[in-house]
Amino acid sequence: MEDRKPGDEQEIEQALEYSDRIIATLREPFLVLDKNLRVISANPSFYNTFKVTKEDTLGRSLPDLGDGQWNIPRLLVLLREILPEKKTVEGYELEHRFAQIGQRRMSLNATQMRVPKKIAALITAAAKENDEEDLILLAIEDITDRKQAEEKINKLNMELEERVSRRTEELLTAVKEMEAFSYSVSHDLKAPLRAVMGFANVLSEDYAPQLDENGRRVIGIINDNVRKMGQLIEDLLKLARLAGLATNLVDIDMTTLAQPVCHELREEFFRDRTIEVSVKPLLSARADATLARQIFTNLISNAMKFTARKEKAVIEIGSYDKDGERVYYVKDNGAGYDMKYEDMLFGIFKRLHSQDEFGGTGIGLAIVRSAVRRHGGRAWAEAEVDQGATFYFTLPKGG
Amino acid sequence: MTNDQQIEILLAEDNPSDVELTMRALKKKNLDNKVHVVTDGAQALDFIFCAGAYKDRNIKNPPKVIFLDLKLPKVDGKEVLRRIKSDERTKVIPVVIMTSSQEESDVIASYHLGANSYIVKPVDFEKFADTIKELGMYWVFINKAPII
Repeated sequence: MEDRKPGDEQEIEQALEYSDRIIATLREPFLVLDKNLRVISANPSFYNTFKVTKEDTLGRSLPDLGDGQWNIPRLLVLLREILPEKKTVEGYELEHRFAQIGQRRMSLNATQMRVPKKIAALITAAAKENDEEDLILLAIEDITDRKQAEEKINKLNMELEERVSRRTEELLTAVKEMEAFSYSVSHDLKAPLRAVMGFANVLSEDYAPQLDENGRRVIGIINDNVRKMGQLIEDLLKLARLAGLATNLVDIDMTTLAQPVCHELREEFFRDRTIEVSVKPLLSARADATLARQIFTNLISNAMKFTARKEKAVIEIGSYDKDGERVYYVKDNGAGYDMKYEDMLFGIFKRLHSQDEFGGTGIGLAIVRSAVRRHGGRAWAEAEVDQGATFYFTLPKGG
Repeated sequence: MTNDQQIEILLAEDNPSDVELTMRALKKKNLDNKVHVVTDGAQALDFIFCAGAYKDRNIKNPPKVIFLDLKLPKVDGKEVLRRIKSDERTKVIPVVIMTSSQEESDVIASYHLGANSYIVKPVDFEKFADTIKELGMYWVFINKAPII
């Protein structure tokens, strides 16, 4: 038995050295205090962080350290009142101005642990009278920089949110102005047109005897142009309204959407022509139904229009997935166009054919592109002169 | 001023061309001598509520129908409509909104305010003339007016 005792002490010393090494290796300041808050041990990080020496630290009471710079009321409350009851506290934050290093914010972990007398005697001189000794382990993290960074991020986020809401506000104002503008256009531009046509009509009714054939022809031209301008205004309004329209995204069966469009267009405008339209089973889209119908209407009526010179118009409507995109297309065997003019195609008022060849206001494809973009999609075309054209657009996939 | 016994249609329209073309269309149905024209919203209200220049009119002798443009000077068409439809004495007078605006919000607002009909004036003159003729015939001859 006698010769075991030095072995026990040796093991305890080895264990103590082990724990000392752990403490010394920690990157954060660490203290061990006895129940009177005297410093039993501190690690190098503590000395470095708080710019104090080992000699001025060990064995001294925490409130007396470094000209009382640790005499922090909130800390003493933790150590003297909270800890004896809770035994362990994590993330206890406090802020304090230190003489050497200025204002710091710290987050503390503290644990009160009871050690046997034998161990206490080895590490502190104060443990002579009791069997056991209560020690306090105190880990200190300087969170000043992190807190500042967090505050900076919060501030930036708030500024960002403010900026976003300001931009949204501006955007809404712009949309409102646009609505007011289209309102004004629809009301104020149409009235004079009606007058021009109306009075041209008065002329042809009331002054028929005085008008020769050329006079009547001129009145016809006036009326034709007024009708064109009326259509132009309607189309422009449609384009303008697209910008202000709130989109209502739903899953759309595109086959069911496209088929009646083909039927209605043929019945309304192209009854006397031979048009073979094949609508392939289409993949579903997640889109605004009104806009999707508008896209198909414009592309299919284009296809019907530009196949007017063919004995038999062949139009195919289909869809496929490629590179993660859902692509729809409308293909015709009509007049086509030279690909070098492609970038004009979707521009407003751009026409690649003369009015005499094929009518129209030159706004249809601009409407298509705008409607597709509202869904985050894109629209493009492929064609060749006299070899027909294929118009493509992408929409989000339907469920 | 036309004797109010004869007034069948109150036309509230500030655009002189539209007034002339409307009158021309109504003339073809012999309705032009039963029309009184006002060119702003304030006049329209004076006529309907027998105030101002129309204080000698009898409110119990309303027109059979009011053709009301939405965009009028001084008091706009919607406000004129609201005032007509919120007064017990006048709310049964049929009001036809006639406007160039196809704005959905205008249509909805007008019906909510109690408009009896909403007509978008076509740019095409022949369609415009036909519309006016039909409206005149319907409201003056076919529709049974309420007795106030």
